[in-house]
Amino acid sequence: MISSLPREHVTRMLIDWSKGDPEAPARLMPFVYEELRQLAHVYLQRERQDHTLQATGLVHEAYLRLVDQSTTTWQNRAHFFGVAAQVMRRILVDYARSHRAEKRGGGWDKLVFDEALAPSAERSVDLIALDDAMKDLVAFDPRQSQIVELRFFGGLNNDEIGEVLQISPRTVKREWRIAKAWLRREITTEEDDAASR
Amino acid sequence: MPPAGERWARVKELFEAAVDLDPNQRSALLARECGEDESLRGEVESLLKSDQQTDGFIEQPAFEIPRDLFPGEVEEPFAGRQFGAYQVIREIGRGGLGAVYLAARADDEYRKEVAIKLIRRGLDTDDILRRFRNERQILAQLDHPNIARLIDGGTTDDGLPYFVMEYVKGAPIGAYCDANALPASERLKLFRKVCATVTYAHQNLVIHRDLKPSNILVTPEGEPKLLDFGIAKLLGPDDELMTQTISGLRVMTPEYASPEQVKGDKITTTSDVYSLGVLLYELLTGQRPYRLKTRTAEEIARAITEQEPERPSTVVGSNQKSEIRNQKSLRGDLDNIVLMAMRKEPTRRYASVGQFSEDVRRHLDGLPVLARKDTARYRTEKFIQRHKVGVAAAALIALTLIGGLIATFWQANRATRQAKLAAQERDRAQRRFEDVRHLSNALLFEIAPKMERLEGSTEARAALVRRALEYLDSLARESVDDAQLQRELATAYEKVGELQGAPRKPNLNDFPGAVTSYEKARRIREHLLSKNPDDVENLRRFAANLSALSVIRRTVSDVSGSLGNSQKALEVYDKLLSAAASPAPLDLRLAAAESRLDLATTHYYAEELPKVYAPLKQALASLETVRQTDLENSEILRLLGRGYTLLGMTLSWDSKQEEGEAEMAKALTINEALNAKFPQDNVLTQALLETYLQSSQLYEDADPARSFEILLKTRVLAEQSIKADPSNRQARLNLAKTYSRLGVIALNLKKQNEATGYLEQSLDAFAELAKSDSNNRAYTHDMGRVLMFLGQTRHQKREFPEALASYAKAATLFEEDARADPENNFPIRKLATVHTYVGDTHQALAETVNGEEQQGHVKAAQEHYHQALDILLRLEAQNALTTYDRQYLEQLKTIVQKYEKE
Repeated sequence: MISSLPREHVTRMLIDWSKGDPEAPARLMPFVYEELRQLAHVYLQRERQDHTLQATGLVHEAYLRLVDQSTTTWQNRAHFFGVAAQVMRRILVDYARSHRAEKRGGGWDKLVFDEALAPSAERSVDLIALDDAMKDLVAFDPRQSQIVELRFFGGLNNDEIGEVLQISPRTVKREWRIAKAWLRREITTEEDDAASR
Repeated sequence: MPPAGERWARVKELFEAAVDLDPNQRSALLARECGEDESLRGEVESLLKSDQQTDGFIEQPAFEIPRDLFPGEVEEPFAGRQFGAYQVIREIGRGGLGAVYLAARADDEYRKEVAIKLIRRGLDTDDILRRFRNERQILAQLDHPNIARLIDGGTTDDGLPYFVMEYVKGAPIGAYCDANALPASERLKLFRKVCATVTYAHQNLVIHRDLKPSNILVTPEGEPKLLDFGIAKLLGPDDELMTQTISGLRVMTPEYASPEQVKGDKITTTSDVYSLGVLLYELLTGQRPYRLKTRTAEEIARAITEQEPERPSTVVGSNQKSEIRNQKSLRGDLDNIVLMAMRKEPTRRYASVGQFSEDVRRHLDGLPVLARKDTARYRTEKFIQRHKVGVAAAALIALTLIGGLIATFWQANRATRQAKLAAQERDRAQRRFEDVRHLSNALLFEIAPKMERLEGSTEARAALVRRALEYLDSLARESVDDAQLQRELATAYEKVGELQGAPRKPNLNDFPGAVTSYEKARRIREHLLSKNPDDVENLRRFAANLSALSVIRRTVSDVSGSLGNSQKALEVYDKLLSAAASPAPLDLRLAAAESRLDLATTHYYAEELPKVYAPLKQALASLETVRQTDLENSEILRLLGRGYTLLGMTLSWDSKQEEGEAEMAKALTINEALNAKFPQDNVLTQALLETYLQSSQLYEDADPARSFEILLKTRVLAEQSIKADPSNRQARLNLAKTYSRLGVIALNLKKQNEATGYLEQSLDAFAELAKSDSNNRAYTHDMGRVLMFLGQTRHQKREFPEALASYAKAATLFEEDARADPENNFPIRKLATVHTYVGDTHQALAETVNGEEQQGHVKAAQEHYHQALDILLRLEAQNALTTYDRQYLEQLKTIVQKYEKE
């Protein structure tokens, strides 16, 4: 467990990041990953009946454990959740892949997300399809892929994303819209292809 | 196919340009820009089409950050806004309830500066408003040069209260001292001024409760000014101190809070003494008193309530900034003064702020001081016990935050507000509401399990439960249409019910409360099921709910209620099992088996032996089948242990001694193995204890020596449990039962003196349990039974008057029980037995005397037998006789007839 690592260390990395240190995110990643992975492990063990991840609690807990809130700002927080977003994406997608049941004909399994996490009624996003599509997207527009990651997996708002990527919130909004359209089209096409096989 | 660099840029550009145009304009634009390039146009158009879909694709994040918990939200600026006669210049800071602004009189030529304190929009629940007005009222009463003065107050057009205060220009006291490089003696003098101010407040019956460096500013003239009476409390006859503390948003700065605040205990003026002690510590050393590795609520709470702060003089040595602070001047008296103010127990601190200040003065004048070092022995004794108070405190802090947030966002949902809020804000509020609800679930469910082994702070737990129920009840009222929320509510009620009275877990022993909570949940689930009868998840929880209810009802001796719940639970389980794929999930099968065990247990307690077998054997069969697939599963084994114990007892009682012993032996093997594997697990230890107790009862008649041996083992195990955790009720109960069984065996072996000893120890143990839990009549019932044994012991010793005395006490207890719960037949059955014993004793007395006295006793005997018979006949008429009772009835009839013949 990382609790032996002084929180000052992680906190300092966040502060370095906000000061423009380009190495900071990479240095931070393994710690966040380890913490979230361990927490996720505990959560997954516990949630016997539901088999869903209480992701909010997870990231929140990791944040509380790793970051000294008295010396960090909302910008640092944005950075943290940016990293957490990447990590959460990995964890969730890995989990989805390992639990995927192959249907006959190679179709995709729709993962129904924990309803409590999402207020809207219809909430089945195929995480694996999304992840694959994002991998395609990152090849020709890495910034858009990052925006999607920060927004969807990280839950950051446009201001916070702007802070992390050092662009204006308007740019974020614009890129997000296009990225979303592109991803949606890619995933739907895939589904149609799969269905017609 | 992924488009390459420049082309993609072009696609984006076109998308951007076209996306907000109407269809005609769009076609025109694309035609113009794309020209011959069909594939480009096609690409852009398909993206536009995708954009048009309004299915909320990935619009909701995979999860939400509960960002409202973090301070520093950006809010609309108020600069230029008018508050009555004052105009805001800029924001100065953020307080617990709202913000503080620098303002000045709009019409005043001198532009005298003031501070305006305002509640944040959205935070104006009744509760918080009340507190805000409370602060205003308190400030209005205080008139002191060192307290920021209240000038005016009012309400904005939005209906938000604000007040106008003297604007204090100054630095926080710590910064002031450092900036002016004040030596220790000067700091102490400044500190004494602060003490004098707090004393004034106390004299006006106000406790500040949030004293910390940032609340004490020092003006350039060197005068301290006390600010922020935000959570101050007017001492009054009502003792709502605790609720007040809990209900606030960001109730206190955790690091400066006193141990009793953190624990949720009563707060007095000495709490301010503590906070002042912490302040002094920091002023003298430049550091905070507790070393924290992380800053989780839990750790802070634990540090405050358990950790010993390091002596200021030792801390200063390691501090870089210590040119001002002299180690030598701190050592000795000053160390002791600070530490005395910071003692964990309020009664061991200075009795008043004045006394504290006096001691500081004595030090300054070179006189001897009151404060003494804590003795090593005292400290060792005190802190050897491990408190789990930290978790409760963290729970309180967390619940405070949640409570505040929930309060905020319910408000945002209220119909009256909706008219005022823009649709956008409403959506935002709705989303946050759900965040918060989700978060509160997580915290409630994470913290609640941790609270299982708390020592002390029963009040804190009770407060937590009370508060949680308030919130849940309000949520329930507001959310009738929201199925998802209703489901979560039901689960939350069940969690609270578990805290109140869960079987086999340490709980608050509030069984009536537990029943109420579970019933609330049950009604919700029933309602949901009526709309959606095949909701598997809900069905499972419904069954679990009914099972829990049946056990709690059995605990309070509501047999018919318990049986009703059990049977319904089993119906649901059977339905689920038949609908489930085969093989059904393990936990479902275990839950069903446990429910059956509970049913069998209730029949056993109700003395309906024949009814025990069917459900019990079914449960055992099911468990044994499942065990084959997972031999080492401790849950299955635990249930098997329980089942075999019950079977052994039932068989033995049913006069099938040998079979009973065989089953009991199985149970012992299983439970001893489990206990050896998991010695720390209290549930398993208690299960083993119960098995021992039951098996000792088994051998009682056939092999008393063996029974005795088992009981001695039991006693050792019980005493160990209690030593490890003195608050462990279950262990205490088992110990009390052990003593009574030891007494009974001694009695059977005719060792009356030993018997008396054990039985009296048992009585003491039960009495203590009863005292700490007057709601639970099960203890008094057990006491009655022990008194009956005591009576029998004395009867054996031929101490007949004493025997009668014991019986009389027993009878009183049973009569009280019967009055308290007329539906319950257990007490009157026992009363019948008591009457029989009394009859026996009078009969024995009759044989020792002559003449009139003899006549008297014979008559008394006859009367009592009659009374016993009457009771049983009454039960017969109500159809409430057990098979066991029937035999008894026949015996009594025979006896009474004999008397009538004579």
